[in-house]
Amino acid sequence: MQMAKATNNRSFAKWAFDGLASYGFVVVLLSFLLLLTLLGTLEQAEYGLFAVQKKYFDSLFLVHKLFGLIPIPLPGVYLLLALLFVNLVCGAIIRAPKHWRYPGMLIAHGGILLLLVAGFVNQHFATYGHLQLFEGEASSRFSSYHEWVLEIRKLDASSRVYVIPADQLSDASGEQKFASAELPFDLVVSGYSENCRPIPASGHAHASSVDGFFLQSISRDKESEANFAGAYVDVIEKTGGPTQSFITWGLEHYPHVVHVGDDRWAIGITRNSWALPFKIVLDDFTVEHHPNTGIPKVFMSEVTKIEGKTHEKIRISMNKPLRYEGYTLFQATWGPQDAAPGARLFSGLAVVRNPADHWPLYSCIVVGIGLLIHLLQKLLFHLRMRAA
Amino acid sequence: MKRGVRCQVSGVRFGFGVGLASRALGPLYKKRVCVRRKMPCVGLKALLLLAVTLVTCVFPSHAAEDASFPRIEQSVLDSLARIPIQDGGRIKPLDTYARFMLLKFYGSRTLRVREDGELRKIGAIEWLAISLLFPQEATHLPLFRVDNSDVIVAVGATPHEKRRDRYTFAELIPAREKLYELGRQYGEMEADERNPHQSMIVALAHNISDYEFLLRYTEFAREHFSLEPGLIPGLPEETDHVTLSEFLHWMPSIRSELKELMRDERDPSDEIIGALAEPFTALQHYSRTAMMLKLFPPPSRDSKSWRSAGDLIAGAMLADEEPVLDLELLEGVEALITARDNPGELDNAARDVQRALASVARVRGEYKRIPLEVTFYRINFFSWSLTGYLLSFLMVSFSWLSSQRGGAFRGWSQYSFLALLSGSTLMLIAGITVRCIIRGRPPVSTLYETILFITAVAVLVCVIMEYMNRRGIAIGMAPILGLLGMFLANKYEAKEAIDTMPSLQAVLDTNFWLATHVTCVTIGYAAGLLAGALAHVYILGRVFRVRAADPEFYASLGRMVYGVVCFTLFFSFIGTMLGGIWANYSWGRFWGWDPKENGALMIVLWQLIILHAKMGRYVQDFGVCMLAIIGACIIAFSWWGVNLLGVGLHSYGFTQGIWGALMAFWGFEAVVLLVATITRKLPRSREA
Repeated sequence: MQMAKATNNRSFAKWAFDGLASYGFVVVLLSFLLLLTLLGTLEQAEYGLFAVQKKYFDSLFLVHKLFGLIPIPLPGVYLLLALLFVNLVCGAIIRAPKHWRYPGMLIAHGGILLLLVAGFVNQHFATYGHLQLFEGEASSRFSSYHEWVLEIRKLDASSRVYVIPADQLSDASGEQKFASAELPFDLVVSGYSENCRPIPASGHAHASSVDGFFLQSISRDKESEANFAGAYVDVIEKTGGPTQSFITWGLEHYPHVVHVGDDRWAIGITRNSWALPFKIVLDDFTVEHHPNTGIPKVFMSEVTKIEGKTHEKIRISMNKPLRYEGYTLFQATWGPQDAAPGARLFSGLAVVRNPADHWPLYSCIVVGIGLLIHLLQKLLFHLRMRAA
Repeated sequence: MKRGVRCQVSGVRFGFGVGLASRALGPLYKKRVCVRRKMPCVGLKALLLLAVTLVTCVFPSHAAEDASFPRIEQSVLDSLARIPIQDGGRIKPLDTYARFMLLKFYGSRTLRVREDGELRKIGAIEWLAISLLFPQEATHLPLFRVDNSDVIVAVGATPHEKRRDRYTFAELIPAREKLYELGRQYGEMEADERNPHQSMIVALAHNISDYEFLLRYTEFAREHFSLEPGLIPGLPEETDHVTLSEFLHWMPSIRSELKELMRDERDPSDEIIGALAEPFTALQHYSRTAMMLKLFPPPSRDSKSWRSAGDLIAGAMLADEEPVLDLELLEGVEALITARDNPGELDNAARDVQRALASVARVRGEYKRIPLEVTFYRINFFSWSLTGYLLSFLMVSFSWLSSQRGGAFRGWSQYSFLALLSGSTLMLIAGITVRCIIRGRPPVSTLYETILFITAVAVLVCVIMEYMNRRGIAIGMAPILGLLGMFLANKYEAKEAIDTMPSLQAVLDTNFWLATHVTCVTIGYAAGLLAGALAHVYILGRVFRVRAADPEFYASLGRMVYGVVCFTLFFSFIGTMLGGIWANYSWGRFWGWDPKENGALMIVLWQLIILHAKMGRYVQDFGVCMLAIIGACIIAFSWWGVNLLGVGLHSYGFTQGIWGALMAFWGFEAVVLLVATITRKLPRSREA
């Protein structure tokens, strides 16, 4: 009985392994990947990249509405790539014949595996943000493009910061209470909206108005960077003091400051940000257009990187980023685009921290070598056959 | 007109340029000249309004019948063709400028007119010369192509009998205000929201506006001023009937005199102010109207922006010292215009202007490739190549038809075919090479260049395949692919009607990545399309039972398609990866799910699907060919379709107006696949 069970288990394992390693499985996976890439590409025109990326490319499962009507459940690209990894390991590495007369395919598949690992590391361990500086300004922090947080900062020498991520705020469909033993107050957040604007309450019958304003929700812009989150916040002192209510909105220049006991606290919705291990000063920004046109030819930032007492002058331009300590700063944008000649310009630097930064390059080299070996061997074989 | 001034200015001038005059004359002008009219804000609106103003003043609103147009000597045209001009951010020959302007207005680089019942062909540079030298006559050239006469009705002009026809500038003058109003209105809409009718109106409004500025460009050269002798101290004795450039020679003296008067707190007489107001208004007028052609290199090596005659006039008005070189150049243009009725003088003047401008450009190192570009367009590599492919296709057809007859005819047609195919391909490769030299770039940096390159690669791969597998299939495909490619290039160039060697955006300004990523991806496109083309031979051969008794023929074709799919995968994969690595260097991420990136990924995925399906024995040769045809559809989406979505970071590749052609292509391929599937099933059902 036990032997039969063990045999059954082995046959199931073999069946599962054969299925996972099969050509049929990879064809199905690649077909779904192709379909999702097509759908995700077409939908970008309507919904923008960020929303489409979340729905199709970063997901395990999704529901696609055919012609906007018929719901069709589909696997997400994240899940498909994970399964493709398994398929490659089973089919192209474990099961593949290891005769070194034809090493090309083994090498090429190894390169693809490296690429998939690079994608995984990038998805989970990379940080993407931006740093916007006017000439003469300096900063050692960079901000997220899309991610909002409610930031609570104690205004004293410690500058202690507490952060509530946006996904927790968005759960606050009605009211959501946030409490911490380290804080002398509790927060009640309500009416969180991913994209909204404050509107004067006069003339509007609105129950939630604070200080004569209420937050009007707006449909999400397809350009994620154009959305500005907002919420109503009540600060309830634990000692039983009066409740302080205010609106916080992503486009405000400064956070709201509340007094609790003898301390002052700055509270506001802002883009998530991270510290750089160095400071960047924008000394000069140059943009050059092709003569008598509006086509930008060159734009570059002359910056000083300050780390401790070390000052280093560096030029960052298109296709020539600054790489240092695992961070990479790219010349991404500039503005104002309609600035008059001689007006003060800002430089937008994309900041990336990606442990797998160069892995795609290594993968490309490995796959290229593998494919080249394989195709040349096939070609020579064909020519020999023809000659014979 | 006040005493002391006789200013011969054609038409009524509005107050544009008053700002410049006030700066030149200083506070005196502000004090005395009260009439000041505001110009509208810059942009299309301003240009259109200015153009309306100009046309109202000068051009008659009727079309000439039995028009006859001036003829200009070839030697004059040769000189004009080699004049350098800055346009679209680069220095190019006036000939190139003329070719693309004419293509934009007329839809072809050769204008055809009827003179005394006979057809006359006018080349681009001659058309431009007529427009600049004989603007009045040029208004009667049937220049503006209108594809739908409803547009003419909509703007209130009189339509021709034919739905699609060419209209003269003079015919459209009565409709200009409505045209510009509608053009502005539709121009404010997003391009993809306009219907074809609205797009045509916007394009026509732009074209009419541009041509008005061209026609008015040389008006300054016909201007003459007269001042009463002795009115302003320091001027030469002869102040009657002087040219604009001669008047500009006096500007430092005039400005100095006016400053002197101000310093001494003396009030200049009404006579002086009155005498100067009108010439100054005229100068300002020309500084605005003569702004189209940036023909004049800047005096400083540091400055990259070339100047128009209008810029020179404005500069000379404000100069404290006489800008000798600028005025010499202006004098040259004046001499050219005034010599228009004397062929001998015109020839000399054209040569002098060309030499003067070329020598300044040469000193700046900006003239080197001008003669080569003139030669490039004159040789017309790609038209010859298109003709050659057409003839070689006819020859290969004869060769196939005569395959049963054998003998001398077959041999002759085969040799002719090979000669024509080689010649066409050499012309194509030579054309691409010359473009690379002119631009100083790798072969592919624009959408137009991808067509040329893909055609060349596809034809060459056909030749290589024929060498390896001598069955006459691949070589037979070569002229068809060449013909289709060159036809597409021709159509695309005519549709866009813009310089096909444009200045590149900052992100593309890297020859390393253009030479690696773009070239690899484009070779991948070429190979994938070639696989699709060969698959058509297989599929259609099966459908029509061509060589049905020759299974080796189909087995060989199947191997070819499979081999080209492998080739496609290699270049598409490497090209896509290199693109990601480039993006990682320029935008900070390897992969961003941008439509162009996704298009490339889809090609790679599809080739992988074909190869794995074949290896897993899910498909045989027939299936591989069917999948290769779908692969060609995916390449069409990646090559053209994603550019039509108008989203993503690859904005430099966006285009419009080809959804119809793409849909037709996909529809055709769907029919091929459907017919192949049905006919494959039919014999079985008969057997059953």
